[in-house]
Amino acid sequence: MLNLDKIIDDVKNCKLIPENDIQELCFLAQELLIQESNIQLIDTPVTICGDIHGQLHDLLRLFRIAHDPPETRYLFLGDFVDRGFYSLETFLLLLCYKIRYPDRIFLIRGNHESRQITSVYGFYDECLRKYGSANVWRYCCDVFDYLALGAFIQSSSGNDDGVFCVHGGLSPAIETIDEIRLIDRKQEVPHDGSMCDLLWSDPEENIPAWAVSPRGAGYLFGYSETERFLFRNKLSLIARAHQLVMEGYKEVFDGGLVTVWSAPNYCYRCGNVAAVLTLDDSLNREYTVFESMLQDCNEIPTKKPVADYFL
Amino acid sequence: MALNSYLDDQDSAIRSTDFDALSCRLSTHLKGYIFDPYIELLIPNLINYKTLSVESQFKSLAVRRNLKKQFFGLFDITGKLDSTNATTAQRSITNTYQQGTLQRGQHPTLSRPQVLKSPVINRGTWLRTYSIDLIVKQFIDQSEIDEPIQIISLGSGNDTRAFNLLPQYPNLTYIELDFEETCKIKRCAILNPSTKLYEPLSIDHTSEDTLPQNHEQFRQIPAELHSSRYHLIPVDLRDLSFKEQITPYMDFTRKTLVLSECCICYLSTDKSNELLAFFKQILEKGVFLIYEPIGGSDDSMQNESVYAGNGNGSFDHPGGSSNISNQSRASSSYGEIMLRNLSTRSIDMPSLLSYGTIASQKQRLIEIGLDANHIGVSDLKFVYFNWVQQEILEKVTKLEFLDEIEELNLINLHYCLIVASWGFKLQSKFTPYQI
Repeated sequence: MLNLDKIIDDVKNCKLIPENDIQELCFLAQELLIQESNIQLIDTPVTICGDIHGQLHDLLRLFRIAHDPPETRYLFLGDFVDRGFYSLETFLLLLCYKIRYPDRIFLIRGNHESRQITSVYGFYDECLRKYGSANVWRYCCDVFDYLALGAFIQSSSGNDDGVFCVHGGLSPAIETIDEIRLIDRKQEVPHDGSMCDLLWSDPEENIPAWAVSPRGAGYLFGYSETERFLFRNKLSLIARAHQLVMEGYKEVFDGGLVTVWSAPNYCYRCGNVAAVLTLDDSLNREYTVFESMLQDCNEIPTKKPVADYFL
Repeated sequence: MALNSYLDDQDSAIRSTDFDALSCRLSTHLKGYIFDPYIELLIPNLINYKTLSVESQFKSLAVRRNLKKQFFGLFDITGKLDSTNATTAQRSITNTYQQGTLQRGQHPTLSRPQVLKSPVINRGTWLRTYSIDLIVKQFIDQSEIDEPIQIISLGSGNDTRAFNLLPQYPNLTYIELDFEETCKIKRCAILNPSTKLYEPLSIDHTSEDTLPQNHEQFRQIPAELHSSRYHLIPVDLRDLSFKEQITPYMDFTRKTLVLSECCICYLSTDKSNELLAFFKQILEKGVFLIYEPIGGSDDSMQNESVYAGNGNGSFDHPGGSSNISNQSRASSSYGEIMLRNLSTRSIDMPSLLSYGTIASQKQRLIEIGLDANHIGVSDLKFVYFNWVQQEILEKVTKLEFLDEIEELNLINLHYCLIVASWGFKLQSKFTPYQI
């Protein structure tokens, strides 16, 4: 039987979690996530967090500032892993909280929660380095396939327009939130199509409607498409992550869309601040901005001493 | 004595950046961004002779191990040093990597592509190489075919540009200046008969040149190497008396390109300005081509609108005008973090904040006596979106998936490319950033 509280403690201290425990955790998580719909319904108040990217110590700081679960209800918009040096601990901590407090923390899928991307951007390497085999990585990837694709936040009165939450953005193939509910999500993130777009697209202020994304997946979408989606789905806001913003958050399209970024000093190099967005019972927005902390975690050797530069 | 050994450590930390650059370039080469036929021949030599440069036996084992790791474990070298080593290493990498028959970017020994550098570093390294090559080519193309011209590469380190350029351009003389140890290692690498790197430099290899087999012998060998058109000269760029060392091999009246690819940024600002002023003074017709990081500033004068495209060869690109992230100017927090990160490796970069913007870089050259109209300074984000032809950009984009567009733009914003000429005007079809 898993001792979740002990695992949470160990993860926070960067102690190596036994492979069997991780396997067990991942099976448990799958059983839990399989019951969730593609679009999760979440009550207020809720604190929305953007990309974390394996920056465990900054995540712990986030929890200190915005309070640990279950005290605060959380929605994480994906991209838990890759780039930072503690992707595994970050993901395990979130999974443990999810299993421990399923109604107080919600996780949706980001474009980095995929086998293909994690094998390039660090998570695979990290698992291999820490465990000597790819088993742990495989267990985690199986969980990724079950993560929901988005969330819908309703005010407790039910009178206000809701908030749609997704990792990337809109898709030209999707007009209503209900259409997202029909996607068969339990698979590796496809290279194109609506599921891919939700996880990959970006808003862009200088285009009329849709444009090709320089990322090679998803689309750029403009003001008018955003307005239309908000109106059609009775929404006041689209909250998404996916793009580094130096100020931690950025509202565009007359406040109809916000990007939330929760990895301060991204990749230990970018010098940005991070933010989380808290919506109260009337869906009023409150942003909490925080900086990175210099961390020293000796139990597990970090991959590289410093970030790469062109020298 | 203590001060000396501290300075030695500082110097060796700076020298170590050579291998960072080379490792990035190898990654970019293997991914198919650039094609550099000499890099795979050079690296095993460098690993061998760098190891010989270390006195302590155990330290040299550690150095070898670290270098192998830095080059992604692709160069399979046994502990012994003999002339077949380099070829063995070369075979191990080229056997599975036959030029032309395999699709580039799909290196068979690299079934897991992540052993190389991350895409953002590959893309930035490619841009660095590509943009410097553009200007170098322009400089060469503007000379008459029989007009002798020179390139002086400061802190040239493990650069392969000379190998690539000299066979193509018979009117070119290439002079490389670097620390003594770096020159010694490069000299050995060039003279190794199994890799024949002396051929492109038109050096007549004589078998009398014995290569060192151990550290004792390494200490005895010379560091200089000369042919009719190639000169490798060990100098300390902080001491301008090196003029005497280079005078016999240079013609100060010829058109000369002075290249500093992440070199003078490691000098104190006084020393780097003295060095630039020195070349400005001794060369009749010259052009500075400088690539280096800029740490940013809070009162930067840069203006976002130019990213929409201006000047010749420019185009609009959706990622280029993104307003989602306010990254239109270099911010000093990036530079401060960079300094902090570099300091963990004992590397200092004095110019990073002193000349942290393209405006202050330009001002610095004006103060050295260059004509403001002949100075172009661009950040690399501008270069990326304005100098690279659309079709090349599309080709490069297809090589590997790059998720980190914002990060790439942010990093590129913190590097600059300076093209500044005197005594003649370098005609450039690339419009620099307008300050």
